[in-house]
Amino acid sequence: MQYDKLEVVDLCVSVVDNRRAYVHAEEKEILKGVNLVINRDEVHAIMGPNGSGKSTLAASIAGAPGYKITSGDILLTLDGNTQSILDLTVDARARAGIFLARQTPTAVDGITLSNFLRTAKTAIDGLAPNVCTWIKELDAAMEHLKMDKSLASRSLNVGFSGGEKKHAEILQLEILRPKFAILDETDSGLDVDALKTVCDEINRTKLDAKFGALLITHYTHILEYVEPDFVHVFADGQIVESGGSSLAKKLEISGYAEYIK
Amino acid sequence: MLDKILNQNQKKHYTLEQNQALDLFVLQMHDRDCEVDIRIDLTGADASVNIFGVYFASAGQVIRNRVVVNHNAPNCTSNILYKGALLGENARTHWDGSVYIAENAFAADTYEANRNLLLSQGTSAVSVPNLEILTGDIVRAGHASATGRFDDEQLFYLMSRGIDAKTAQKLIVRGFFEEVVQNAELEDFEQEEILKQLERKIDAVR
Repeated sequence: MQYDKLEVVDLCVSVVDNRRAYVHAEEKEILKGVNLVINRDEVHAIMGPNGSGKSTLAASIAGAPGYKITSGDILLTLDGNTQSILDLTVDARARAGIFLARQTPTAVDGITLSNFLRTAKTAIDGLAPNVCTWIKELDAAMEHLKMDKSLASRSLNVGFSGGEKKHAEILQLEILRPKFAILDETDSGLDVDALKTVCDEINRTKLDAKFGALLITHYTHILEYVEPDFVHVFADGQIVESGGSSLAKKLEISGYAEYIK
Repeated sequence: MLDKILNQNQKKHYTLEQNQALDLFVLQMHDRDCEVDIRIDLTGADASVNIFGVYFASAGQVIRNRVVVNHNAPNCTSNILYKGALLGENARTHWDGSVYIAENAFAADTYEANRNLLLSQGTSAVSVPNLEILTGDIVRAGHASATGRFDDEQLFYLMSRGIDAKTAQKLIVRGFFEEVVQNAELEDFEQEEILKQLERKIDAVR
C-alpha cells in the first residue's frame, strides 16, 4: 500500500462542446501538460484562479463525459502494478479506488440516497454489505456529518440544499472508502461550522482508509482543517508552482496575480 | 372504482356520474405494438378521474395512446400522467391527450402531462397535449409535455461510484417511472412486477 500512487503525466485535455458537436465539434484545450504524483495517504491541494482548469483535471481523472485526452497519461499503481486508467470505464476507475466529489453533484429522481449508497457499496466491494451492520454503518456516518437522517430516504440530491449535497458527497466518501479521493471545491457553499464538520469527517475517513487526496479549492480555510502535504498553484492549464503548506499562506496574502499573464 | 388495462389493445369509454371517481392504470410494457384509446365523460358534478400510464417501446415497436376527457359538469377533476421510455432503432410512441371543458363545467380542475425518455438514437416520440376551455371559471387547467434524452451526467455520476453502465441505466429509468408507478393505485407486487418488466426491456438490448 505504501507504494500506491496516482500519477498524472504530461496530461493535455480539451473540452468538447457536445451541444454543438453536430454542427462542428468545437474543441478547446484546457489542460496544457499537467504533471502530478499523489502517493497514497498524501494530501495535495490545488489552488488557482477561476477557469484555470482545476475542475477539468478532476473530471479527467474520473473520466467524466465531454473531456478529451489529447496526449499524456494517467497512471494508477496499486500493489506494485501500474496501469493506465485512460482505457478504463468510469465505473472501473471507481472500483479501482478513484473517487470524485464534484462541485455540483447531480440530482437523480426516484433513487433514494440509501439505495444508491448500498448499490455503490456492493459494486465497489464486490459483495452486498452485511444487512445487520449496514444500517448502523450508514446511521453512524450520517451522525458524524450531522446530517438529517430523513435525507437517506429522499431521492438522490433532489431538493437537497447546496450544503446537504456536499455533506452527501462526503458521506459517500466515508462509505465507499476509496484509495484516491478528489474533492473538487467541497468547501464552497459551506458555512464555517459545516466546513469543520465535513473536514473532521474527511480526516476521520482518511485515518482509516489512508486515501491519497487531491483538494481543489479557492480558499485556504479548508486547508486549516485538512492539512496539505503539498500545495500546487494552477494557472492556464498547468501547475506553475508547487510547495509545502506555507505556499497556501503566501497565496492568501498575495493572490494569484503574479501567476496570470 | 379502479380499472387497469394491462398490455393489450383496448378501446374504452367510461361515463362518470355525480361523485363517482375512477382510477385508471394503463400499462404497455410487452413486446408487441399496442394501441390504447380511452374516453372519459365526466357527466355528473364532483366526478373525478386519475389516469396513469406507463409504456416502453423497444426497437421497431409502435405504441399509441389516445386519451380524451370531457368535463361536462361542474366541480369535476381530471389528472392525467403518462410516462414512456424508448430504446432501440425505430422505437416509436404516439401520445395524444385532449381535455375539453364545457361551458357548464365550472370550477374544473385538470392537469395532463406526458413525459418521454429517449434512451438511444433512432427513436421517435410524438406528444400532443390539447386543452380546450369553454368556461371562465377554472380552478386549475394545465398541460405539459416533455421529451428528453437520457442524461449523461446522471449516468456518469452513478458510474463514478462503481455502478456499471447497465445497472446505472436501470436505476435511472426506474427512477423516472417511480413517480407514476407510485401514484397509481397499485399493489406492491404489481409495482415490483412492472419494474421487473422494465428491467427486462433494458436487458434485452445487447
